[in-house]
Amino acid sequence: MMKMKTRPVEVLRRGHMACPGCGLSLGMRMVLRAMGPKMVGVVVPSCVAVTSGPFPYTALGVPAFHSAFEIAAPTAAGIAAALKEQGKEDIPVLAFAGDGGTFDIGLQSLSGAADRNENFIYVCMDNEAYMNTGIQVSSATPRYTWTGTSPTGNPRRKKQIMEIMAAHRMPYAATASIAFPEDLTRKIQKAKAMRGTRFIHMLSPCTTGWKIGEDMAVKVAMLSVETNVFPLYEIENGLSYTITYSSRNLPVEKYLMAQGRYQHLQPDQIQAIQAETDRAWVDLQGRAAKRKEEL
Amino acid sequence: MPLSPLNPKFTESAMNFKKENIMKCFDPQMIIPISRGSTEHFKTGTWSDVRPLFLEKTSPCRAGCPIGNDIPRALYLAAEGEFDGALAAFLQESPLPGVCGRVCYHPCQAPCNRVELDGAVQIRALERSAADLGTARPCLLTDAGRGKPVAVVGSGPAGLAAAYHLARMGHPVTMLEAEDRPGGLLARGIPQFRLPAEAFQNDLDRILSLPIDLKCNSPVGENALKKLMTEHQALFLALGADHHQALGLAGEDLPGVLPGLAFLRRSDFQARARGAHVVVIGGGNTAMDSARTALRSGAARVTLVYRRSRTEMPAFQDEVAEAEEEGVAFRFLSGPAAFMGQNGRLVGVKLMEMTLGKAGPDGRAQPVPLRDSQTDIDCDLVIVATGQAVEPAPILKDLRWERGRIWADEAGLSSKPGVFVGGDLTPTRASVVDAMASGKRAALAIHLALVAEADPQSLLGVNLGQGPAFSIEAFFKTIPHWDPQQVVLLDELDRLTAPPMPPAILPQRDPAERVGSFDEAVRSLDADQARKEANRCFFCGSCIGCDRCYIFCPEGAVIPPEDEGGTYDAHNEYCKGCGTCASVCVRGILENKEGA
Ligand SMILES: Cc1cc2nc3c(=O)[nH]c(=O)nc-3n(C[C@H](O)[C@H](O)[C@H](O)COP(=O)(O)OP(=O)(O)OC[C@H]3O[C@@H](n4cnc5c(N)ncnc54)[C@H](O)[C@@H]3O)c2cc1C
Ligand SMILES: Cc1ncc(C[n+]2csc(CCOP(=O)(O)OP(=O)(O)O)c2C)c(N)n1
Ligand SMILES: [Mg+2]
Repeated sequence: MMKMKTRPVEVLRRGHMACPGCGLSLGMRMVLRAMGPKMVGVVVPSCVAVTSGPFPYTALGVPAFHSAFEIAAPTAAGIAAALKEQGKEDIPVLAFAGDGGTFDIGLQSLSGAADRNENFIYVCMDNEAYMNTGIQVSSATPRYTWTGTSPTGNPRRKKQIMEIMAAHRMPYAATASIAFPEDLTRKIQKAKAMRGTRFIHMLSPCTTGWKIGEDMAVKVAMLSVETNVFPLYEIENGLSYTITYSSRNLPVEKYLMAQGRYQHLQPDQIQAIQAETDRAWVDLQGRAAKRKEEL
Repeated sequence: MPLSPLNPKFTESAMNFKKENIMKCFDPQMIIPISRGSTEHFKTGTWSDVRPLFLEKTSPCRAGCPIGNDIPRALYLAAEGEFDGALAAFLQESPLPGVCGRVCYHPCQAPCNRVELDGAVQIRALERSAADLGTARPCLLTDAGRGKPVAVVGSGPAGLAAAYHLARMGHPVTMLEAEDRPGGLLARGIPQFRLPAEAFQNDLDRILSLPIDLKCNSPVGENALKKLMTEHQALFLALGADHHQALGLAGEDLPGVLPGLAFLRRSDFQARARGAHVVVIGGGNTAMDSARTALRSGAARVTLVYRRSRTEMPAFQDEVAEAEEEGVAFRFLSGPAAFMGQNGRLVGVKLMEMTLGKAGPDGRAQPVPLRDSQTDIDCDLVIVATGQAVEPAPILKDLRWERGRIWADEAGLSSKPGVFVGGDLTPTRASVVDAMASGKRAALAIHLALVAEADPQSLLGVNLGQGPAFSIEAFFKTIPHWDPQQVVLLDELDRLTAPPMPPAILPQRDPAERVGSFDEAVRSLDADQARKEANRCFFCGSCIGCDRCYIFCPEGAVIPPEDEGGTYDAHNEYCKGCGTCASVCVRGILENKEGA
């Protein structure tokens, strides 16, 4: 009872070192499948590098450069410049970095590269904490979230990286989710066809740090989208917003309560998260509507 | 190979300023270490001994279908626009898809895993589409029944199903029918506006394309039965239960008081409803059909009187709703006390109010008349439709009875060796699909009794869910990687993976228009609507090759099938046993198995 299909080439190799059920390694696998084998990769310290493998082995079936924590963007920019020099502009460069490497320590270098509109795709694998070093809070950790260094819940809100990137008026920025592979693939392929700095923000459930079952990464990612905690959208030239999936508007509680890192939440905290999610969702819809009017 | 900078000898050799060593410095490998090995070197499968297990199961709709239709397969094909294949799937288990696609009470739809998401898949409507749009013919299951003739008495759904499956197992079948045409209540009971003659004829033609010798106008009496017993190796009796039960009330013999089935069968009776206020007594299908037939015959007004309340009505819910839309007035918790006449003509009925008391032997609350609650209502015609009974025919007198029906064991064998019974004659639920189910089970039981090498126990292996529904197709064709007894139940998160898609609105004709004729009240979905509706199916328990297990594996360790019809497998040496594949399989096929 099935039709034959052709499947894209697998670029991420088996035997990688990510934890069982890792949402981040699944995200990398999906991105690489969408990119295809003709590309150059950049990885930096993070679970991305755990996935890409220990020396002298690599899980990346493409040439890749393992750079330093804070310089994924300029490394990718440098490689792209070198490829251009060699007349190989058709080979895209894609950098993977964690949320720590993006929202925190790599923000300055990423901003510089985006400001110069360097030619690469940057994929931020956001698992909302410094995970491979043992679950420390980052500026991507949402409010009230448990981490090892915010044991009673993070007092700060999550930094809005998409707004920061949009403020660079870069050609393309999009959110993507492992639970929506078709949307993800379309966005990667769209980004691949463009030039300049392109940014993908991917929420990557971490079974260990989020305290969820090893089989739950995809379902929790799905809930993040269906509750509007992590809406799927894209921004062109920093201004035109398009919502690419109309969610079911489920209550955030469904997303929160599916995870161990939120079990300590009080009802008023859940309400506060709901209120902020609703506000952001209305705001996003407003931006998307404005774009439609302009068209 | 040049030395890696991590090697202590590296510095030493690099310090050795020979030309070739200087050149080596420009080798990228000397500047920075390069991983040339593949992580496939790490057999991460050793991290866990949990592995995915691929096992197809039974969908809740199929387990809930008395005839055990392979609904997921039929709907999968319908979704692809392959209505021939969809019809062929239905024909594996049921000979009457065109009939059931219209009048079945669809117990398949209530347990649909989609109910809580946005409503059950409209399975009945899709069965109808398959029957109307498909052109498949029935196929043989085995020829092992060759030379072992079986006689079937009665050609209602029970008799037809038995004959159909017996013929598919190679038995020469003689089917005897008392009336001038086959079908039992399908041809002489259920009205045209619910089951048009062409729809039944279509199914019948398919059944009779098998080697079945149908003899109409052949009522089987005691002598004929004896003869049949000698000429055949087994007998299946499905005489139905269409014997009118009088209420035993005063005035019941007035000419204006008619039995329900007779009213449905005779146009001269129907003509008497023209311009009349018709009172129908009863809450079952016969009552509902009588009320709706009276409307179509030009009744001025139709009142249906039922002694219990709406929830206890034995009529199927769809029909109650349709009758109500068409303007039948319901009067619950009241029953007739007497029929009143004047000069030999019916003028009214005396009604008593009821209340619900303790549950009776059948488990239903018994109606208890309230004292001093009698009211008279004027009317011109009364139709008594309070249920039919088995006629105590001479050929049944030697058999064991049980509460007015013929007793049978689980396989349909009566108290007399070689005589199997089914349908309304027996205590099964009075419906087309349950009658067919009893005929199918008896057919297989007869086959197993006549073909020595077959083991009756093997029947249990093809029970769907808890049974009694079973798959006759699977009995003859071993289906690998399938556990028919396990029924797939999805949880909320599984259901959420499906995009919202409300059920198709069935094309109903306007009630005011449809009471004007005996044309079918509900229309078919067109091919596009049917495809769309079939696409709402989760195909629970059946692998449709959606690739979700493969797409969502963080390890890339799931191996998709190379060929059509193959199964998914896993690179066990790399599978870390996370169980994501099982968690994302919305059909409930993959499971995590420890120790694999
Ligand atoms: C008005 C009405 C509406 C209904 N609507 C629905 C519905 O919407 N959905 C549903 O699922 N069910 C419905 N039912 C119930 C359903 O029709 C019956 O349960 C079903 O037809 C029973 O099938 P059967 O084969 O046991 O008997 P029958 O259909 O009654 O067939 C028995 C056959 O045996 C023949 N026969 C009897 N005695 C002899 C003899 N001695 N020799 C030869 N032949 C003989 C009869 O002539 C008849 O053709 C309805 C029933 C009625 C009365
Ligand atoms: C300059 C520098 N500081 C600190 C580290 C140690 N370090 C390696 S990975 C990491 C955390 C990475 O967190 P994040 O970027 O969120 O990636 P994740 O591990 O969560 O995937 C840290 C602190 C480093 N490699 N380099
Ligand atoms: Mg992180």
